[in-house]
Amino acid sequence: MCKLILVFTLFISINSQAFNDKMTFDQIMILKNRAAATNDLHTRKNLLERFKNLIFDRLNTIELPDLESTPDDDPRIENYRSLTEFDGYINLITLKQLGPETCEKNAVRIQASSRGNEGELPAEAKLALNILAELCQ
Amino acid sequence: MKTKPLISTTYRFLGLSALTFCLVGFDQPRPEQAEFSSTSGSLVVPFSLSNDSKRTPIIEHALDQVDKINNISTLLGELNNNGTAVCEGCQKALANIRYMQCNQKNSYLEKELEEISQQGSPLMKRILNTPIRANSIIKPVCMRMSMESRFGISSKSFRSCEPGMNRTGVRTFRPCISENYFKITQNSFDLVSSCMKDFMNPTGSVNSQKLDVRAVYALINVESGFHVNATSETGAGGIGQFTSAAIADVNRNELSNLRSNLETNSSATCNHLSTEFLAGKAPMHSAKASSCERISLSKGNPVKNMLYTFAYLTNSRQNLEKVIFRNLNYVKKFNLSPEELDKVKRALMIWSHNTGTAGTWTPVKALLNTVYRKTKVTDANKFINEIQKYMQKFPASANTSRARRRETSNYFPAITNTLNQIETNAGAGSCVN
Repeated sequence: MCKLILVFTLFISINSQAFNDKMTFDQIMILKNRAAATNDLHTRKNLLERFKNLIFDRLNTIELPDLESTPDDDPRIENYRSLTEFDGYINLITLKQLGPETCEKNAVRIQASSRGNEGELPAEAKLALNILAELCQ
Repeated sequence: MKTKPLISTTYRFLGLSALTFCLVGFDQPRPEQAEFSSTSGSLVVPFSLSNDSKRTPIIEHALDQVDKINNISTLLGELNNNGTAVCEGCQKALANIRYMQCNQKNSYLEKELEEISQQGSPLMKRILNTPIRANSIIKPVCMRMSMESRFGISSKSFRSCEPGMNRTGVRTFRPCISENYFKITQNSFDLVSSCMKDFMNPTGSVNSQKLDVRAVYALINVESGFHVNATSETGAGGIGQFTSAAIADVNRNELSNLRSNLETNSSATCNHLSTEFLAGKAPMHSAKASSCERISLSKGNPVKNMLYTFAYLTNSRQNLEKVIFRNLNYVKKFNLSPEELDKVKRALMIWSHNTGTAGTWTPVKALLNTVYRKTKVTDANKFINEIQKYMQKFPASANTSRARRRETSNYFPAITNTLNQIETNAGAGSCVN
C-alpha cells in the first residue's frame, strides 16, 4: 500500500507540469498497471498500441476555443499543446524486445527529439520516459 | 537541434540587377526549367580516389590504397567529361566566377588551405586540387552568391582556431572568398551530397534526392552562408551551426548508421569519407571546450560539419516518419501526390533543424488534429503555410518563449524566400543541377 502511494505520488509529481487531462491520466494508470502485470512482449506491445490510439482519439475529440481570439497562454491551448507533444514522444516508442537495450534506445530517441537549448528535459518527455520504463523492463 | 540564426544582414548581390521577389512554393520548378536537366549526372560522386570501378574493400589501412593511385589525368578526365557534356550554360557561369582579393584581415585561412592542398589528407587534397564541376549538384554560381551575401564583408560573426587550439579564439572577419576557399567549399558539398543522398532518402527518386540536396543547400545558406568558421553568439558553429546538444545527438543516434552507409557505398570515395572524417567514438566532440572541431579546417571541416548536418537532418526525418508519416492514424489525413507529400516531409525536416524534432511534430500534429480533424490535407503549400501559424500557437516546450515562437515560425519561410532570391538573381534557374 505504501509502495503504491509512493509510486502514485512520484507519478503525480512528474506530471505536475505536463498537461492536465484526467482521461489521459486514467489511461496512463491503466497502461502501467496492465504492463506491470505481464512480462509478455506481445501483450505489452498491444497495450502500447491501444494507448497510442486512445491519445489520438483524445486529440481529435478535445474542443478548443477560437484560436484567432484566444491568447497563446490560455490554459486550454497549453493543455492541448502539451498533450500533443507527449503524443509524439509516445509514438517514438518501439518495443522490439524487452530489456535494458530497448529501454536505452527508446530513451535516447525521446531525449534527443525533445532537445531544448541545452536545457532540461520537458515534463512531457519525462512522463513518456516514465511510461517507457514500465513497458520495456 | 536548436540554432540561433546569426544577426540578419542585408543581402547584397554584387553586379546584379534589382531584386525581384517571387514567393513560389519551395519545390516548384522554375518556369524555364520544367524538369531537371540531365539524368543523374550531377548526383554522381564527383571525383574518384580509385581507377577501379569496383568498391575498394575497407581495410585498416584503406588510405594506403589511395596513395597507390597515380593516374591523375584519368581522374580529372572523368570529372571534366561530366561537367561539359551536360550543362553548357553552367560552364559559362563557372568561367565568369570571380574571386576576392584578400587582405591582411581576411586572409587568415589561406595559409592553411595552401598547406592542405600540398600536405593534407588524400581526400582533402583531392577536394582542393580538383577543378570545380560546372554541373555540380549545386551550381557554383549559387554557392558563390551564398558565400557572398549571407554575411557582409565586414561582419565579425566568425572565429578562428590557431593550430593546436581546441576552443575557438577571438572573433574575426568573414574569410576572403579566394579560389581555394571557394573550391574547398563547393567541392566538399558536391562530394558529401552525392555520398549522402541515399542515406538521407534511400527510396527516393533521383529528382526527390536532388530536391533534398537543394533543401540542405538552402538551409546551410541561411545558417552559415557556407562559411566554415561562422559562429553564433550562443556558440553554434560551422557550416550547419551545430550546438553541443545537436553534436551529441548525431554521435549517439546516427553516427553508427552513417558510417555503415558510407562504408558500404559502391563508391570508394564515399567509403573514404567515413574512414577519413568519421573515425573514433566522437569525430566531433560536443563539449564547448572542443568547439574548434566544428569550424577548423585542420579538423576536417567543412566536410565533417557537412556530414553531421546531413546526419542530423536524416535523424529528424526518420523520427518525423515514425511519429506522423508512417503512423496509420496520421497517414489517413493526407491526400497528396507522392511528390507533394515529399514536399511536406522535406519542409518539416528542414524546419526541425531549428525547432528540434518535437518542435516540429507538436505544431504539425496540432494542425492535423484540429483543422484536419474531419478533412484531409489536399494542398501541400497551404498546409506548410498553416504550420507557420501553428508554430506560434502550439510550440514544443523548448520553444514557448515569445522570441522562439517568432523565430521558429519564420525559420522555414525565411529559408524559402532566400532560396527564391538566389535562384532569381543567379539567373540560372534552379540552383540544383
